[in-house]
Amino acid sequence: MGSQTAAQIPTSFGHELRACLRCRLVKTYDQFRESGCENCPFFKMDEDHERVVDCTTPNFTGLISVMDPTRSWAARWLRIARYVPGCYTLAVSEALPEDLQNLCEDEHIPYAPPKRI
Amino acid sequence: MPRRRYYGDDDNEEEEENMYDEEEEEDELDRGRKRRGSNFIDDDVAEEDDDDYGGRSGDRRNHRRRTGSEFFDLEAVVDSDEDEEDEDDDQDDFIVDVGAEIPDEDGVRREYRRRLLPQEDQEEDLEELTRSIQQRYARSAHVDYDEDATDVEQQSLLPSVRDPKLWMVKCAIGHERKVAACLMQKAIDNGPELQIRSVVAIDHLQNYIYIEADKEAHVREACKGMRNINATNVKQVPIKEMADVLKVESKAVDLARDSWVRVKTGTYKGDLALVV
Ligand SMILES: [Zn+2]
Repeated sequence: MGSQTAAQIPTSFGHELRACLRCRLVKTYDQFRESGCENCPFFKMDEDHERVVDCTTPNFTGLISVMDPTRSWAARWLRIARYVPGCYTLAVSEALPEDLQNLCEDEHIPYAPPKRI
Repeated sequence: MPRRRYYGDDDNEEEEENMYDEEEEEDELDRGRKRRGSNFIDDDVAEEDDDDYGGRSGDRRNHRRRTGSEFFDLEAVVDSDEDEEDEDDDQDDFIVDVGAEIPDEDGVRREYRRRLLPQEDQEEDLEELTRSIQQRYARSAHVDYDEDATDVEQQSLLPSVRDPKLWMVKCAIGHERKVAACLMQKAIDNGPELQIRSVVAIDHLQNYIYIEADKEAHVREACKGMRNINATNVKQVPIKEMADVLKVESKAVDLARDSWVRVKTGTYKGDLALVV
């Protein structure tokens, strides 16, 4: 594994699992609520609990644990090579709400919506 | 027989026999507390899967799919083919038929040249290439999201012979995601000595996970002492099929029970709701 600090690893695997709509990091609802998203601190999910609902989704497909993002072909292919090591999903099924897309734009944070919604 | 074996116990040769015993079937994340019956599955199913897997290298794919390394030198050619792609942005469409224009010996020569390069140069080369691709992508994603352009860029990310490989590894049914997460935890605990790059659990593929690593030995090493995974019969995914592994089936996703959602229309628009 690379030298980067990894994201939290999901502590359970039931319906409480959610994926960040921007970076696709997968954690439990409680983990997002308590410590936010390691790749997207500007969403401030840990300060505003409703943000967790808006910025994450329980509807996602597949799971990938990325140990070494900079040297993983899969991470590059899935466009998650710049994020911290952690568990991600292959795809989320919805786009980030518009106001949060605007927030990304204001913060000059790249956001790419899913190819098929 | 030893009562407990965690992923740290990697010096025991018996583990492959014991792996699916009921005694060993406890949950890695709830170690020591939970017990469950052995649900590891019979070989019939596995063999069927194997056949399916082998059958994936269909004719169509074989002649259409080229490796990323070939593409890298031929972006201009691909660009000119762009118009032929249809609007459907299925991942299949990332594959542009450039095969006809590539003389086979060219690929062979390039491969030969590559082998003469020292390993470090290769890595720098690849990193530089990755960087430039990522920069271009970041720009297009941010400013104006041009779908055709990103399709072409996606194709440029297809794996080459220099990338890590995907290895298909047998996993107890229902444990695919957990095993992927456990290997992540193991990587965090062990640091750089665990040489695998990623672990993939596909929703519609039971009984297997994929591990990304340069060498099969790295896969075996990572799986040593892990419950619910059997690395005795590891199979490499052909390079031209690697992208297919990560292809997501498009399907309507049911709302997950007990999850919080935002109501988007109607009287309660904007409210939070719990799916029951
Ligand atoms: Zn995120």
